[in-house]
Amino acid sequence: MRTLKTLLVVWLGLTALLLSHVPAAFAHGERAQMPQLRMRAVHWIDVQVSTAKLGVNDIVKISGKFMPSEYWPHHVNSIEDTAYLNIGVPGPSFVRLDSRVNGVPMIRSTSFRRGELYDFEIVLKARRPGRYHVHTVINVEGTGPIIGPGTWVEVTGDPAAFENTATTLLGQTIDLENYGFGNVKWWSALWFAMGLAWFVYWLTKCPIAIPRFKRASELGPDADQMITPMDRRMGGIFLALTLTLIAGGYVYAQEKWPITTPLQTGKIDVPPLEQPTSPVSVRLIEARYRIPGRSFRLELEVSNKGDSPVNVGEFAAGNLRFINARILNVQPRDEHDLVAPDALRVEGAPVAPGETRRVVLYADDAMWETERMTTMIASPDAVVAGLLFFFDGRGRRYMVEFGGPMIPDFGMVKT
Amino acid sequence: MKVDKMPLPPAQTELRATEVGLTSAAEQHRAYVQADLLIIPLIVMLFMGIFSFHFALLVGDWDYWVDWRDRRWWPLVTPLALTVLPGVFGYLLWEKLRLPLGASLTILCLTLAAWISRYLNFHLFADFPMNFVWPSTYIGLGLIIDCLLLLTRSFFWTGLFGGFAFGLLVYPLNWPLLAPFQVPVELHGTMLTVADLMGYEYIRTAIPEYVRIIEESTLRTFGEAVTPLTAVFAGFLNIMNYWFWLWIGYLGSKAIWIRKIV
Amino acid sequence: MNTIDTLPSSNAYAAPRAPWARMFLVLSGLLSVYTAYRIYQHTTAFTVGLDYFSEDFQKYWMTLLYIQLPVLFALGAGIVGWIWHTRDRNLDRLAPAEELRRYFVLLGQLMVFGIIAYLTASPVTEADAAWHQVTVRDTDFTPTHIMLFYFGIPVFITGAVVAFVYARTRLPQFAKRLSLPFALVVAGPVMIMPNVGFNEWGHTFFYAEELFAAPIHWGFVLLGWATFAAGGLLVQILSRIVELTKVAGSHPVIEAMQGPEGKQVTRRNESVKAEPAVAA
Repeated sequence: MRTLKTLLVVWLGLTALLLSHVPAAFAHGERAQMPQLRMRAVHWIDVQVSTAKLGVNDIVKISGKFMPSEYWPHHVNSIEDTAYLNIGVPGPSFVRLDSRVNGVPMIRSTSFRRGELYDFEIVLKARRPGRYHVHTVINVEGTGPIIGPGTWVEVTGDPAAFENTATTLLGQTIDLENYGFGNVKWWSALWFAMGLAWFVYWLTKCPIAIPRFKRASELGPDADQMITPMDRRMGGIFLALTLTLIAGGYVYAQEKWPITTPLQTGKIDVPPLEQPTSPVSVRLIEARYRIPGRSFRLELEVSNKGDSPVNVGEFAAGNLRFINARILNVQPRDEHDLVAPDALRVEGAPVAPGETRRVVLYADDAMWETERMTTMIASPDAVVAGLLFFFDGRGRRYMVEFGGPMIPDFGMVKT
Repeated sequence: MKVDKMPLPPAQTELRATEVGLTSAAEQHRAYVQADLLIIPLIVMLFMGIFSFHFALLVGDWDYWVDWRDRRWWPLVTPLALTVLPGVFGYLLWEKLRLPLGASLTILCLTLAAWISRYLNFHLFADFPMNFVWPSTYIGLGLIIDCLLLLTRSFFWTGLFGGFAFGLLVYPLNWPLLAPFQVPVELHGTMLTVADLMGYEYIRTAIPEYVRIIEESTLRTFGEAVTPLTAVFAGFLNIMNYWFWLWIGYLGSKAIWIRKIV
Repeated sequence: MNTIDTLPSSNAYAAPRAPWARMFLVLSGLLSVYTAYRIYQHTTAFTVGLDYFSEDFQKYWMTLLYIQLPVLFALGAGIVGWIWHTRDRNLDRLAPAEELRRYFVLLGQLMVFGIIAYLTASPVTEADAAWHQVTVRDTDFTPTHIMLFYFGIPVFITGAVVAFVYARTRLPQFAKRLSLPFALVVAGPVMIMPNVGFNEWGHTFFYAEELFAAPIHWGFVLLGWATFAAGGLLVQILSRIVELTKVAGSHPVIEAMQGPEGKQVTRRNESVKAEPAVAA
């Protein structure tokens, strides 16, 4: 016993020592996903988080838009089949009170069309204190979680103060943190006691293992002689008690909860947003990623059918945002907001009304490396996609998606 | 370590060395008790481990989450997977020890392991409220099998009646625990059960709604007979299921010696 | 260290006792390690264990993996090597009482194996279930995989192999022939490692969901079923213990002549007070 105590104390001490240096941050894991899939799955646009700091029981809203990519890879299950709007947090640190896409509640699964635009809003209530990197997520059946941008949200307060109630259609207000559990515990304990009593009855015959094995082997086909009349009586009593309890429990439950409904499931449809026709169209001529310079070079053919010259203000791919500081001022919300405020260089723009011309973009930032987008060169399907945000002279914004093959530049061939 | 040593009369020493192990009935009793003290906890631990592993990987999700316990799949999948250890070890304990404990003890062990794991892993570790992740109760089913085996002393009749009851009664046995979670609520114009509501509110990032394998409506669910229909079907299947696993238990308890592996 | 295990077989008589003290020491050691590991996992998994590519993950989880694998391998190989090295080379001269004691040691080792089996197959396995159902899978090395596949399963394998090699080197009936049920009980845990390879391959290439009862996991179930052969092993052990616990004085020749009929057996057992009362 002393040894046990000593060992425990030593281990707990070592663990405590080690853990005293663990930072209390809740990161995420989307960097493991293949970059070209991240670029060709869902584009998240204008994602806003209502607050970065809140108390237990307070509300945080996440809203914005998303667009499933036209370049969704054919070899993975499509978002047009079955999908579900979700949230990426480690465990239920928040409870989800509402989630909607284009106003439709996203309680059930749905599907989204490629190339269409969707508005979303998710309402969360803080449940556990901590600092969380909260992501939007769309789970796609057979494909996995498509992770959107993340924001650090800090929750403070007392976890015991968390409240979560609901009112049933029978008018009863229930506390979802413990509703029904007293009942579950009571019945589980009762059955456990029954099972244990049966086990203990046979244990009273100890020693049992060797003597009974010996007797049963010796008696062979007559081993039933080992069963005593008392055993049979106990068998009868336990059987009768078990059947009575099952029947009684069922009748009791029917009396107490006469109105119940089956679990609800089934898909729901969401109509996409109506999008005005964009006057800007883009054709990818060439995409090259230069590894030594962490530089992505895009050569595009841009046509402007509008009435005002357009320029590129932002290039977004795989949740990374490269901003042309001459057009836009976007600053990262926190240390992990994947915004490079001045990392987009544009040559050949603006494009005048009615003009079609070649535009070259350079998106240069260490984010390519830190977010492991450089592993796109290790993909068996080196096709990329991204979203370009054009702005005209009147401040109007036009989103255009492009996609196509990517050629890596290892810096070993002089061009 | 200490080893009890005692001198023996020369005549007995020789006999003992070649033929038998112990000198007195008291010593034999002590050996029997020691064997029990080793074998019973060993069996309990193995049942807890094997059953928990087996059940987690075959039924798991239906038993983890209260919003998975539907009328169509849960009462069908559960008895089919749950009968395996009662069959295998029921054969061993009855045939070799004449103990009608195979079903109730294995399920008792599963239940204990499930409560420990649900509390440690799903409640403390993943932080779900216990009322969302409680394990169902199946001990009553084990008792039916064991008591019938004791009373009929026949695997055939135990399979026929016990195996059937085992499949039939999963739902009614659990109904007093489950019913309150299937009371309807409304959320944003959608009707849900309390269980669905909890599944929606308590976020599971990697378990989206569509992953649930639960009853979907069909044009041929006549007369709202889903639960009894599933229960009876599960019962019939389970008769053969119980007999099959008894046979596996018979194979497993064979003391086979071989000269070498290949 | 100078136990009867290390001594050559002799006819010296010792009333057989299970190695309780040593067993509890091993169990308390094991429980301490599992508990400490669990506390570590509980505290760090959701903080620094969510992103394989973060520095914190490399520091807190990959370092642990790199340490535990060679340590466990060395420990397992060391224990098994020691058991083999100190094997009994005179099994034909083994006294029944000593043989019985060794059966108690084997049962003690199997009990340790049973506790490892429970800890690994239930709380550690389901920590993995809980984890993967609430987080986004990133790489094959998640905090719960590192504890389950690269700590729990190797310990599980070691527990099985230790008991098997002990029986092969110390107990005549297991040394002369190979117990098929025992081999199956050992093969199950060993084969889990190749199945881990299949599991990771499958999760990478064709199964994207985190359903725990999914077909991709059924290989583990099948290997878990290898323990169904524990029944056969128990029969082998019990059969021999029955022989070894016979009391001197009830002459073996007379016993051998008695048939399986109840009456004769009951009469014979009259001399053995330890037998439970048995109804005719």
